[in-house]
Amino acid sequence: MAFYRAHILVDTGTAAVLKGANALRTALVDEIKRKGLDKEIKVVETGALGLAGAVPAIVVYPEGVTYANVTVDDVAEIVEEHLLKGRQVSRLVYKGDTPSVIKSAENCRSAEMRVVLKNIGVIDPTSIDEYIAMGGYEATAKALTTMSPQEVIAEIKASGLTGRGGAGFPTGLKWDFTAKADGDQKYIICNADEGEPGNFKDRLIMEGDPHQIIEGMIIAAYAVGAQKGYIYIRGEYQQSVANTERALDVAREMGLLGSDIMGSGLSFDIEVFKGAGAYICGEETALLASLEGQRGESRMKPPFPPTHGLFGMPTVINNVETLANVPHIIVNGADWYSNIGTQKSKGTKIFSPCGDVQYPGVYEVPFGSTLREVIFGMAGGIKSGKKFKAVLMGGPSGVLVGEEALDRSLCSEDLNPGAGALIVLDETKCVVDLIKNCAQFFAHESCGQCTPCREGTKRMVEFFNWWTAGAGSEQDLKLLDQLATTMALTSKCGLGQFAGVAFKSSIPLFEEEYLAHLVDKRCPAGICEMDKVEEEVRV
Amino acid sequence: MPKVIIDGIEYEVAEGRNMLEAVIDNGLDLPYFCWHPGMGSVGACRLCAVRLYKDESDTKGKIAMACMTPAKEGTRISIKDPEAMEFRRFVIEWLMTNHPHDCPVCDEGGHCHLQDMTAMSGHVYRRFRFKKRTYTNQYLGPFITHEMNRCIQCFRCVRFYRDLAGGRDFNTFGSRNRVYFGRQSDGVLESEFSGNLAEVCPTGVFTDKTSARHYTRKWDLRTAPSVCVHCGLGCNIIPGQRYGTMRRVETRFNGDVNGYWICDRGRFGYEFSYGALKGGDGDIDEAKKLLNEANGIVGVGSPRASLESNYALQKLVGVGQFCTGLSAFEQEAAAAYINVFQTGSRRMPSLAEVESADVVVILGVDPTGEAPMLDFAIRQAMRKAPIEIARKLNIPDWDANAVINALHEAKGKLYMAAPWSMKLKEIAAETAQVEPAMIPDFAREIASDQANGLAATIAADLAKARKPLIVTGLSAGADTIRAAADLADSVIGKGRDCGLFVTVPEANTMGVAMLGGACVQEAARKSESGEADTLVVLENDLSRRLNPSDFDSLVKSVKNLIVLDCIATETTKAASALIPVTTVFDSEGTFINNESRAQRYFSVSPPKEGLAQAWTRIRDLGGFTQWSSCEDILRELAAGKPIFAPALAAAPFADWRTEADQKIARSPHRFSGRTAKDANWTINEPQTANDTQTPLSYSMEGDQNPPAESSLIPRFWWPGWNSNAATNKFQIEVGGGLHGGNPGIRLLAVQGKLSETQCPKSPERPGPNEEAREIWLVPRPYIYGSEELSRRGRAVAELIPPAEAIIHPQTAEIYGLENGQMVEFYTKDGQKLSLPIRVEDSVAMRVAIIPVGFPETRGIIAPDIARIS
Ligand code: SF4
Ligand code: SF4
Ligand code: SF4
Ligand code: FES
Repeated sequence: MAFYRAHILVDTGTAAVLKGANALRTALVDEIKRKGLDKEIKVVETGALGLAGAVPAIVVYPEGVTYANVTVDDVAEIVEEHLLKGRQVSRLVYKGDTPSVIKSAENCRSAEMRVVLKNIGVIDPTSIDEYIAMGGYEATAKALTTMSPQEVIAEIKASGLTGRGGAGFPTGLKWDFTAKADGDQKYIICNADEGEPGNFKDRLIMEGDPHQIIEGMIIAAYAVGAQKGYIYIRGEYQQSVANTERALDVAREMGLLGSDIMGSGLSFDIEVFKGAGAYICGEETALLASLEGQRGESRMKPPFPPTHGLFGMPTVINNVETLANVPHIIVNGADWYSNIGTQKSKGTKIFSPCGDVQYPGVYEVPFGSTLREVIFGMAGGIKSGKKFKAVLMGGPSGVLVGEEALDRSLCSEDLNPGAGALIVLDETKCVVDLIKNCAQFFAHESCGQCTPCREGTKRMVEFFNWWTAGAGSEQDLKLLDQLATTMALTSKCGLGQFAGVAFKSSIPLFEEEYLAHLVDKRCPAGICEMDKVEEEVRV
Repeated sequence: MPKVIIDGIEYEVAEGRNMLEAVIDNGLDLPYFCWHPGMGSVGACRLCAVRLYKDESDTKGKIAMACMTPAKEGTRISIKDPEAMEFRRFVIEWLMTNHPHDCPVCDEGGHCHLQDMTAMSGHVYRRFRFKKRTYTNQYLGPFITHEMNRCIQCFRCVRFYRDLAGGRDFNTFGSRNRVYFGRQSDGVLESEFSGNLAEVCPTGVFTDKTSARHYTRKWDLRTAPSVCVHCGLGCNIIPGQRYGTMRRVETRFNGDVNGYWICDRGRFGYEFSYGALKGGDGDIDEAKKLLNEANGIVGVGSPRASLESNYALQKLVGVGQFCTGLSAFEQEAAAAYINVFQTGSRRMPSLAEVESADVVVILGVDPTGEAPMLDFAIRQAMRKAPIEIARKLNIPDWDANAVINALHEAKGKLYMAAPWSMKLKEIAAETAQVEPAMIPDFAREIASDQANGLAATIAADLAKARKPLIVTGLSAGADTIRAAADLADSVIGKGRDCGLFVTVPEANTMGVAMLGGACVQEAARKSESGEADTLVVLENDLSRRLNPSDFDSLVKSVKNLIVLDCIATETTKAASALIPVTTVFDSEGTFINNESRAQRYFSVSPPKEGLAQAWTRIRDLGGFTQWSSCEDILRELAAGKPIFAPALAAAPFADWRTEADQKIARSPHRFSGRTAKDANWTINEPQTANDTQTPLSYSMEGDQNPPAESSLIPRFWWPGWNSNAATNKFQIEVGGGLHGGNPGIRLLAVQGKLSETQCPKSPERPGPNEEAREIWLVPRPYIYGSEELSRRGRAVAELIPPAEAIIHPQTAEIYGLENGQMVEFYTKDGQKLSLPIRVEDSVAMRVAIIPVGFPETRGIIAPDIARIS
């Protein structure tokens, strides 16, 4: 690898690209060349850096200075001042604390522990060389050449790794089922259909360090004896698709995919499948149906996918984050891994606080960290000096918790983190409005198979539409509460079972706010337009 | 048998049931939508919720779906649990927020499962106030009306249409509360079983479009147990009438034959009855006179008339002068079939038993066109064949979607050899398009030790099958039937439980074949040779079986042609004396289906003025005063021909009464128009016709539900169960057989010894001579158009394909023919046929496939060699 005295990381996440990040990158490259610096300075594209509000953004290393809202017009100045003369362009420097996501692993906050995210923002995701230089594909080599498939499974089992998509099923056990199942063909599926609002960690991994996932899948394939893998990426994640596909091509060229990988006899290849953006397809059986070209509808279990999955064949379905953990466990050993986290939740978890926090982004912490550590410690607390009100754990399907929960620890024994989203509300926000948003999401995403969810989610939206238009009544609250309980008890799959959870959890915490809407026809936060007459309410 | 506890009381259930079935099996009520006894559970509607307890000490329990809960020893549920009841009420309330409540104008009203379940669940008050969602409906063809606003999203329709019937042009579209069931765009439903949508849909989304033209509520329909007349399978039906005219046909469950389903020809073909001959134009006196003056009489029976009418005619003209009404080709094939039936050790499965086959070989027949429900049964067989895969995973058979997922693409093996490629090809492992004369040879090759290619593949699969089945039919000819039987025997010889299923073209083909007599060609010969100057023809259009020139010369040569029929045909046109008789819907009698099952059918209404049942007219002609009812004829026949004796037990006789000494009422309790039931022709209130001939009454007087006498069930109805879901209440266990046994009795028994090879080698038959521009002319049955009666119905007529001769592209090239070109075919006996050509590669070489039973192809019912112009 050639030596460069400086690296410039350009955020080419979807949001940034929409705001001209590609033009910015080209301009930077051109300018650097014009100044004859192209042998000394390298421009690197990275995935989203977690600076959603400040893109296009670049980070200049070794200093680690972040410039936000950079335009093409700023390029000449940055190159001239910073890169030639070593003077930072202070008017563009990202104010506030630098989001930890773009810090290297060594100098991130003590509470943050980067395992899966260690390469993000550090290496060029399009360069397999850089990945390898950071220790990439070492795990694959170790697993395929020094371990038996049974040993790999035993190692994963011993590590205590559990699924990171929200359900938390032990990964090693899943692999074991598939390994033991009969089938001429077995599949590894990476579930990258990150559909729940507020979650964007998987995208970051795919955009910033896709080889990690590939490696996880190869090891899984070796362990269970699979021949074919699919990465099911939601269609909207164009950059993820592009980066992942590029990484697959390179891996294939280098013989890391294909036949007889590393002389181990394993033949395995991976294909990217673009989902059509239905949330239900994140549910594993619906995902299978969708991959098979059928309607994305959840299926009854049994049969379970580990024995009867894709095309009826034994199939491992793992979340992106889960698979990304695998190489680290293989390299560092199950002991190392199982020492991180709590009794029941091993390892690290990636959180994505967003909403009214100072630094929305992606943070990796050991299980057991408190909610306060993540929201106040890493995400910088509430922005603009406002007060914290509540946080929706995991996204619309999670529970809403308030102040009192800030010191609870994030792990399966205490406050379940779900997939990792933390949607934070400050004191000026309306809880009714937030839950209405959640309700709309579910009513839109229900597959329509079972009555409680299909009808219940729709009724829920209708109620909220009325309430936020000043047309509610006190009895409504009880009726909807009853409806939500029934949905939770009787829906066929998780979508319907969780669709009313946020609402139900919000009632005891914010009953007054509901009553203000329903009885006084007033939105305390002034967000809901309460003055619509009944007829105008669209239902 | 496991014992389960329902609301504290112990009940027994059969092995392998779910709790919803356990509840209904034991006569209790629990509402449901998405489960269907013929389709299993999917747990979608969530209506069958109960409280499920872990064990005796569990007082909390949890809400669970009964239909998804296996009924194991000790399973403990509560139906009456307040929370479960509340939830069920809730489900209906939700569904009702969108349901349009348009019962008054809905064709489902009065036999609607949604109405019943709403009442059963106790939803009475609507607490939600929002707008209902609405949809645009589709045109789905002449049979089925689509009214999506009524949908409650139970997914039954799509499961029936795709999973069971194998249709591809119908699906679920959209998601959330916009889920839509229909086609990609407007158009005729492609499935031959689409009419069942009207029965599986628990609401009025899919309803019978033909019935809507003269709609009557179920409570105003007079109904009787009947048997479908439109092919030889003998599916059980319930025809419904009001004011003496047909309003609709529904399935009559028979666990040995058609189960819950019938085909669209059987359901919608009834419309032919609107064009039936009216009374008043009868020449009974003239006929008597002609008979008295006759110099030699030949009687021509009919495969679409009852056994009793045929026997009456045989008696009228004498055994030696009786002709079965079958053509020589059919007759030979029928004789071969009966012989094969009685001289083998192979299974001769019922239609229901076909569903358990795992390897099926079809030889020369087209189930879809000829015996549509056989197509359906084969689809079920292929679908269920690999069920062991699911069982190994501990998935119960009723867990429908889990079974589908576990089985995935796995299915049974279906092979077929015929001159054309049939619709079942879509689920076949492999097919061969072969010339008709090659089919017996193909069967023999499979049976031989020197099979090659496809024959070898088939032989190998048959040899390892669990329940192999060979399917053929009379239309494939005697030689194929014998070869098929030999093949079945050879598979049995390899230690496999091989079955043979043979289709016959018409409802009573087997009846006349067993009665015996000459063929139609022989009757024509007798007439032309002057041996007989008078012909008595019973419900038979001779022009369908004689070639046009023979028919014309017969009409010319015969002095007196006495015709009894319910429809106007070429033969009735030529009659010297025409005696109109009632259709099957207003007649009593016995049909013998293809597996020799004798099934009794009953008239729905008394004959209208000037009309009478055929047997009574023959009785009058012959002065057989000893017969006061159709039963008397059957008794006499059974006494004289013991082979028919078991048929006596096919249904009870006229003196049968329920325990409460009652007859069975053809009209339901709530028949609202009692005093006006004949208002179409008289405003007086006449005495209700008294039925002395059967155990049924024409009025509402009598028992409504004879669960112990399945052959007399006039309709499926039960208190609180107005839709056909009431069938549950008539079954020993839901989905299983009816109380008192399924209707019908088999007459022929398999003898139990392996037959000697019937026909070791096909007789040499020269194929068509290409030089002389010869080609095989092969008649093919179409579901719509080939059957004589149904093609006269308005809705069926809309779907009759154009009469064309289909040839292979290479054949077209050899003979220099083009698509669309009009071509003349000259058959060996000099008949000329003009048909447009359609070039398609789905047919064998050197054959021209033509539709059978169409006016354009009159008289051609067997493959023949013809010369092309
Ligand atoms: S709960 Fe029911 S309607 Fe909702 S997504 Fe799941 S299966 Fe579909
Ligand atoms: S159309 Fe009928 S059968 Fe189909 S889902 Fe709707 S209610 Fe059920
Ligand atoms: S399969 Fe034959 S007997 Fe059965 S309903 Fe159809 S036409 Fe009638
Ligand atoms: S019948 Fe059990 S869920 Fe529908």
